[in-house]
Amino acid sequence: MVVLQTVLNGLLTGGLYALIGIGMALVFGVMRIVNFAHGALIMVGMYAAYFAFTLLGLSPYLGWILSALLLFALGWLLYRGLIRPVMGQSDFMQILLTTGVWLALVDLAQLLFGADYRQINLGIANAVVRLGPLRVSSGYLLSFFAAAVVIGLVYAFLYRTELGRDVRAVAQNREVAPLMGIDVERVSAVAFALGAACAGAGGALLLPLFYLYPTVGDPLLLRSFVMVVLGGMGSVEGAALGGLVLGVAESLTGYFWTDSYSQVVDFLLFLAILLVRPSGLLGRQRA
Amino acid sequence: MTKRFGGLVATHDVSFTVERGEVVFIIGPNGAGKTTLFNLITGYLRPDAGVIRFRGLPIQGLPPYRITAMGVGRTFQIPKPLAHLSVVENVMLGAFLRAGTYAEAERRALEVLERLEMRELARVEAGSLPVASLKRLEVARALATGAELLLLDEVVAGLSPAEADAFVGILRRLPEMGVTAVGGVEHIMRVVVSIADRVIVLDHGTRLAAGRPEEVVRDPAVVEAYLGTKFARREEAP
Amino acid sequence: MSGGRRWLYAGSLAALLLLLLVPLGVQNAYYLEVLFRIFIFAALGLAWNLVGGYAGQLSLGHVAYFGVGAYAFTLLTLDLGWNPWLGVAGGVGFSLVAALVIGSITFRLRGPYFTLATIATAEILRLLVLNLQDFTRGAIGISTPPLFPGPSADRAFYLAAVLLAAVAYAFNLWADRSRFGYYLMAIREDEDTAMAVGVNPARTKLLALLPSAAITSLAGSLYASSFHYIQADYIFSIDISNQAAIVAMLGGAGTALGPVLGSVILTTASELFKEVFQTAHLLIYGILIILVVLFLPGGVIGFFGRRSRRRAQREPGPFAGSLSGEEGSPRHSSSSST
Repeated sequence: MVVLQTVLNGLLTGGLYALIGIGMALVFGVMRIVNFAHGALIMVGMYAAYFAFTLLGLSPYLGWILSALLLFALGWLLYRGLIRPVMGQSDFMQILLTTGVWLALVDLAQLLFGADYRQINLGIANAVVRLGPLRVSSGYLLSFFAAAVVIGLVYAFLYRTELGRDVRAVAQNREVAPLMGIDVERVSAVAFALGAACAGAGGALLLPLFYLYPTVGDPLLLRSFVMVVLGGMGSVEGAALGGLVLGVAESLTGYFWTDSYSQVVDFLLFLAILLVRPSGLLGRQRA
Repeated sequence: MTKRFGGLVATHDVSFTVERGEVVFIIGPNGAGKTTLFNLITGYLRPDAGVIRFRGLPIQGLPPYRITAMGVGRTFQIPKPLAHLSVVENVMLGAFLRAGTYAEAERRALEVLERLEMRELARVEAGSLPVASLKRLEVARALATGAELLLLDEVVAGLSPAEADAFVGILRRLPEMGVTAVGGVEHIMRVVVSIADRVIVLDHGTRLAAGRPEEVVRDPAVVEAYLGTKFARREEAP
Repeated sequence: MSGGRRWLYAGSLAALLLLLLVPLGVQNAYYLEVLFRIFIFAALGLAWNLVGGYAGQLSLGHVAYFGVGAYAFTLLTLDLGWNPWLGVAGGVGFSLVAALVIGSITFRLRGPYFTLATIATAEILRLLVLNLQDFTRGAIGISTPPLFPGPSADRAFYLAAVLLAAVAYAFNLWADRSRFGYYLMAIREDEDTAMAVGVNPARTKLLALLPSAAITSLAGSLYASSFHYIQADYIFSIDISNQAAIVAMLGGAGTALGPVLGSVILTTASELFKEVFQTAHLLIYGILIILVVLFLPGGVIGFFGRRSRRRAQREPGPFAGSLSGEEGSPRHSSSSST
């Protein structure tokens, strides 16, 4: 029973990871942009939701919309202003550039908001919900469902809209897409911005559950790469699954071993997947 | 001494032997399997079956750098020099395989450049070279490794007729330097026919014909399958 | 040897002598500390440069060796009672072992996967050091033993940093003009071409990592001792890995002088910035990297080098577009069966 409880807790965290992972999957897996600023974007989304709550009284369960919109705009600007000039250049340059964005955003947050740990007190997130013999924190449950909604929206966008279809087309073949009348630049910007928006929404939904500080996104950066690799490059579904797997793996590590090693297990999993099964868990083997 | 190669390309059996000091051309259109063949011989690909022998010893399955060290040099279809280094420094990259010191590598590299008539380009930055010189630089770098057998992928692709003539002229002199040359070209060209000891025609990964150029040119299978159209139309014209 | 090269060696030697004389004139502890940091980070950048610059393998996990150097030195000295300098040497030993293990795992990967794997391995080390509390004191941290007891420690640390940077610089100069360095550059440009001139890429990259890790480890030990205290979260912080890479890229990766120049610029700028914004002096790092990538992809050296040597304008620097950005498998083609 305790193990079941542990798995459930892991799944709930995993739902949030899945949202963050999907954002990374759009940017790295699909558009092949190595984005080291993803964790910082989550942090920005979290601060946005924090101020929406403290200044406007907006609950993060609605505030995520604001965060997502803000991050969509920020992602768009980042792509247009900084990423596009290094598209097609070496991964090296992309990594350095986005590392620059990451450091700049984190330190800007430090400059503007200080290094203090912040927290919001949200009544509805502090209750305990009983599911038969299992007990769940209402905050985790709400965040999980909200994340599921956002994931559903992204999915609907990718598979039910023209623009979403274009994103998938560009992802599949960047060279052929323009021949089909697709504006690759615009579609790439949309995909990057959407990835950022997922990070923003994810950040907002983390707010009721975790402390907020400028480097809060850093541990999530590597995790989001882990999810994409776990799920298989280029697979949005895979990244979502990767998020759930990661959540459960961390939770089980915490139960059977100790919480502090859960990330070690993440990274070992990551290295093992890269070396042994580079196509990911769901992976279609690439040529 | 004999060099024997017998490789199986995909499902098609390709087998041939090259003698020391020969100039052999492998001819076949894009996709005929020339690059695959070169990649198999130099260890970039592993044959699924078959034996590749160099000086009588099997080399299939060895990593490319080992095969290079044994004396098999190669060039690539798309030249990739160290763009920000000079020409001589690029050739030194090859020379270091047999040279102990920087100075010795430089001396060997200059020698090779001299032999390939590009000594005057020695101090030019490689990134600024035109395609023809880049191709020659590739040959120089491979020669500098002390290669006895040189595999030259797409030796004339992207060159003007005059440049191609000059390039093939260099290949003609390779045997004097103790080097056996196997070149890959897309079409039977006048220059090729004039200098090749033998040609091997590849089509769809199989060996269509092999022999002295003038014989191959008359081979009905070759004429029909391949030369019939392209040779007559393009290569006969000066 | 060409004339330019001779001047470079002579100039470097003269600069080293001059730097060794600095403590005679500068007694101010603050200035000495800034100078110490300049040369520690120059050493880090130069060490990183062997792998990241010459061989083109963008490691963002070099802090692993820094941290191992810091912790091994401290623990060997405090807990096993070793002489501090022996502890430093022990740190190098541990770092070499770590480099062999990490290198043989990560060098099988390419592009962003390599970079991510280096970060992951460094993070694993950080978490282990943080959590093996009986052994490392965990999150509480440890006070480090002094390498230079006595009143002139500031000067001694400065001199040690200069000497370490000089050794690292010599390695880089050697890479400029040796078979080994050429092989590293060939690997950076294209591993297929490198193999065609007889280079074993996996082995050569590992050989480059060894001196790189050793120097990084020494820098870690020196830094730990000069700081009097270490704790896993900051001694294994990815900021240090980033800084090593940034220093080299800013000055000019793949050149010997680049990381030195980069460290002088970055450390000085960050000190000046610190005066203005106390908490967020790292902001300048982020902005500088962005500017360098967009406008100076060859670093400061690349920029001036191009001007003075009239390099082709379309060749922005050793890295722009030259590394394999190929899609597909994260592993090297040579290690996967085809």
